[in-house]
Amino acid sequence: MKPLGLWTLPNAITWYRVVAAVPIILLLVSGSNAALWAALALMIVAEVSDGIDGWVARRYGQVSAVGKILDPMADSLYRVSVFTAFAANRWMPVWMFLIMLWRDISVSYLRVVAEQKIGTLAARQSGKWKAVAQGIAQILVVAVYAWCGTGLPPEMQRLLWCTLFIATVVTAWSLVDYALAVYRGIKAA
Amino acid sequence: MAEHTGKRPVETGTERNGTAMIMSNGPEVDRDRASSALATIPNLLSLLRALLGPVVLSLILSEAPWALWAALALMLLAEATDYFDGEIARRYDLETEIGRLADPVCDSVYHLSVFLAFLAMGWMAAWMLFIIYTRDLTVPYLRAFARQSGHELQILTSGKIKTAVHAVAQIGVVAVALGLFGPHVLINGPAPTILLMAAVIASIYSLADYVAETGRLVRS
Repeated sequence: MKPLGLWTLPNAITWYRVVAAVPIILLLVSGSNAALWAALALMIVAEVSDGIDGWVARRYGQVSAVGKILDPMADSLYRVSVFTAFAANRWMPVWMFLIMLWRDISVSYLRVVAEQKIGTLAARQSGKWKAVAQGIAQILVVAVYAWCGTGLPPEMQRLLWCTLFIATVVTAWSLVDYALAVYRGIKAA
Repeated sequence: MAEHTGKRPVETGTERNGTAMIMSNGPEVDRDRASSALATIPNLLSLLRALLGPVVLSLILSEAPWALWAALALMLLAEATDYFDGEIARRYDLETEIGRLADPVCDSVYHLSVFLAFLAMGWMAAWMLFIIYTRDLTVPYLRAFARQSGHELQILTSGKIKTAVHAVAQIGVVAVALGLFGPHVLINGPAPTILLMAAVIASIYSLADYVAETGRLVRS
């Protein structure tokens, strides 16, 4: 059997986000304050994992074709897991979550098209901005609810809404950017 | 599939061009052109299904009794488009490359939109939605992964079973909410959970099947 290269060090770092997704959901929806702090800790580790997996891969010369697919997949799974819990807790309007869901599903299919026509779709700048905007929003929302409890003052609720709104706008923009990139790539090919 | 890598032109035809070509039903060249057409009837049916997602979602969340009936009607329409897009594509030779991808992506976003409505109504647990999402997100990545090593991941029967189970589960849950199963089958009783668990299990089974098939392909 051919080795697939799924278990290199950078890929193991990436796998963490896949594995952490379900415990994070369960902790976030459980409602207890201790669980929120635990979820926040797991989420910070996930952000670190997102930040360093690519760097580790380049640093140790373990950049792999598998990693280039695994990384965005782990990202989509992890981020949506947190937003699923937000939607269930009513911390986030349903329409924002819907846009996040649609974006990640659509980009995953755009990758299939790209793979067929123009080769593996590299991570784009808009995807990184999306990750940053979503990461900040997610950590902030959980930190605020862990710190203040569920009875948030209105100005705090507005702040969280604005952060999530910015993340949603960046997410929608990233979808358009990926779609255009694939479209242009196919036209140029 | 050899036909994927073979003689298909790389450029995407414009909409008008593509539609004109598929009407002519002519020689091989035209059919090749049609294979990259965008605005064919089957593709528009797929798109309609995706767009029905947010509409059904809003209707369910509005909580008005008439809205739930309207949601049920639109859900039946959406499932009908799922049947007819493939059927029309095959019968009238309108199968396009875009369509082969548009069908599953529209399917996925439609069903996820409705599940999201169930989540927001408190009819469905967050982890259930997440498992269903995981399957739908992972399969295209597996397909990209298989293509990296030059293999084509086919549509597996487990995927079709999953879609059918999701359709039945979703329509079933809304029917329960409407009280169509009598006064003893309630939306806050066990019935929706049983239906949605069936949907989750179908997703897990399909995911396992696709992972196994991908592993088999890339190791061969």
